[in-house]
Amino acid sequence: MTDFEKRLMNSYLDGPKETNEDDFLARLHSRVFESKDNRRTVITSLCLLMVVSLMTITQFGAPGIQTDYFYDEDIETFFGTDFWTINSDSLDHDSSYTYDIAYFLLQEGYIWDTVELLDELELEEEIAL
Amino acid sequence: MQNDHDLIKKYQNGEISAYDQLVKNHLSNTVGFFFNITGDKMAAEDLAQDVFFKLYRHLKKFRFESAFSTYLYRVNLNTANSWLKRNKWKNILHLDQAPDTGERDTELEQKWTRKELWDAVAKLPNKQRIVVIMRIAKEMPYKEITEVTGMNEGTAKVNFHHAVRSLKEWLNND
Repeated sequence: MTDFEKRLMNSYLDGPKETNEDDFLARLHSRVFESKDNRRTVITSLCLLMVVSLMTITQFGAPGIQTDYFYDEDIETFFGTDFWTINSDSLDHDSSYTYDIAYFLLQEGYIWDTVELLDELELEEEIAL
Repeated sequence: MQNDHDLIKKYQNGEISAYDQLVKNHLSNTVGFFFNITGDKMAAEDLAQDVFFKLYRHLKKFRFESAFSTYLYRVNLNTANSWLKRNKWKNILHLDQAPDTGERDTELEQKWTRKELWDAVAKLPNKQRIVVIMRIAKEMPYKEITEVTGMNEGTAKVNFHHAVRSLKEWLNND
């Protein structure tokens, strides 16, 4: 062994004696937890991305939204749908439907509109009598 | 004290405390190994963290074909190697402007600091660097180096010889 090699080998240092094991382990576990958390986030993001991509792909070739739907000359196709039936008429709506609307208006904060609607309902009942 | 393989088996069965014990058994050795290279306690502990973090994930697939210490040396070696390479680029790009904390060993009249030595080691080819790390930072005999690295004893000796020649040239020219 040459003098230079001896010098190299003598450059060996004794490591620090006082490494705090508990502190080291706490840091290690927090790092592991963080890594698991990041992994979960990445997997969730990828799943969401896949769902969005799948939904986008399945919509390729689908007809666009028909904005002129209500201007269709053939009104039979409109009235023939579930959206609207020829038999449907406001007169057929029972009182529970009206109360539902009243409740909705009340929830939305249209108090006076609600009062008006209920008054109208009562008035209609009186007229019917 | 339980042996390493028992602790690993327990860890593989979901006992995290067994892993903690394994870390405690090898912590001072690992930190000591990196301290020899970095000369800085904080950096050594950070590198040891990297090692045990890698082991936390990979020990679940440990096949008990070799001693855990050999496996650990290999991970230490790869981590040290990456650190040296990273550091080499930092030096080239002047990103590391921290003052040189390496002390000159007056007793041995060394003409280089620890930082200069390891900067020079970083410049060595991969195989030579690995052998030098094992010889200097771990004081490992050639027989053990062959077990860890997979190269034969003659190759390890030749690589060390070439490495020493290069280091001598670089360090004495500075």
